[in-house]
Amino acid sequence: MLAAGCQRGVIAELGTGAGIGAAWMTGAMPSDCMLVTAEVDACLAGAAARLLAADPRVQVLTGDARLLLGPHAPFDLIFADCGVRDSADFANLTGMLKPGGRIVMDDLTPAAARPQTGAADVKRALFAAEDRLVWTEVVLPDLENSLLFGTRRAA
Amino acid sequence: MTETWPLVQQAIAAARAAGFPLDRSHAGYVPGRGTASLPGVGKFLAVLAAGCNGGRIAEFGTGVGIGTAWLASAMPADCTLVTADIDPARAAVAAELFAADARVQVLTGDAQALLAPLAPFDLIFSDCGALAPELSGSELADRVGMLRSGGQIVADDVTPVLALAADSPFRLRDRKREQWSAQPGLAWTEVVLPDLANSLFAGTALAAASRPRPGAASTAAVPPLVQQAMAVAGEQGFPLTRQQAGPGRP
Repeated sequence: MLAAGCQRGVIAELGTGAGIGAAWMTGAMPSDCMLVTAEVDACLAGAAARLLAADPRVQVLTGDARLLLGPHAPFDLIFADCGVRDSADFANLTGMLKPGGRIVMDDLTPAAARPQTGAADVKRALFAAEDRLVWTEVVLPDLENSLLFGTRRAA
Repeated sequence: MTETWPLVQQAIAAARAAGFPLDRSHAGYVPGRGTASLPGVGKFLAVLAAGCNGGRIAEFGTGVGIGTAWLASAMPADCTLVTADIDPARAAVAAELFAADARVQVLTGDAQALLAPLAPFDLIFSDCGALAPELSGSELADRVGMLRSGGQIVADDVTPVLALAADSPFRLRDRKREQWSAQPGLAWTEVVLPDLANSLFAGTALAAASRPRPGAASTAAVPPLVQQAMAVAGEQGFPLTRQQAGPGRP
């Protein structure tokens, strides 16, 4: 749904995994949109690259997403599936968004579903501390998983 | 941040003063007549509105202006918002609230008729009409048709399937889900609010070239490439869920 709105845009994914997120995004993104995705595990990156090889809009990079994606910024959409460890990383990532660009971080547990583990609170704290973002938490229909979703404000 | 937007607080106060139901559990709630937008809906609208640089937002069903206040508070300075409500008393409450904001226009009358000439829109909050069970799905199609390519539409007042009562008639048939599923030009999903009791539907108008051919599977189905990627995950031993991965693993 978010990828579909990225006309003439560039999407970044931190953590390709097996390419499932990338497959969802390429299915919906406009033909004039590019996707750059990075995975630190060479084996997974290779498998995902083979899967997505037929799509010239997609580039699968192997290595540290934080270092590899910078040259491709600014982005219309960032899917931060991994690789963000502290507020400096997160500030850097927010800085890679265009004004009006979106950032999504997943793998949280909704507060109403279960007592919280520390990891989810770290992610919420990263978003809450970032003044450049308008953000919210959204829960998936399974009621067990949620994600954080933010937009970088116009200057 | 979003909790403290003054306009939203003012709109909530105006809703209370006007006796407008703040949620579906309110004593004054009449199905089909609408309620104020929940904070979870408002925050989601705000995140979308913040991305509408140089754009135009439409709201179908102003109510007393709570959703409008979320949208107007978050949208960029160069974005405009037009909202319409059939009820003159509600529209008047909202118009007073936004009198000082030249970017916001509150109209009174049939939203469909008033807003259609102002299309295309970057964002539509469809808070009336298409919700009412007696109305046909063509109204949703009309609204989707008012989006620019890549524009987004949101409708609220949905209950997550897992939160439905065991005997809920929506388990057998949910016309709103059917209507959304039937829109071929929309990449859409259900978004559950953090209260786990309410959800909304949000969709993006696909560029013409990305639309499925007539008769193709619904956009809500799992695309073939995603299924292939899931198979790759299986071969690579990559966990498909956090529950599979266990604590501390991706």
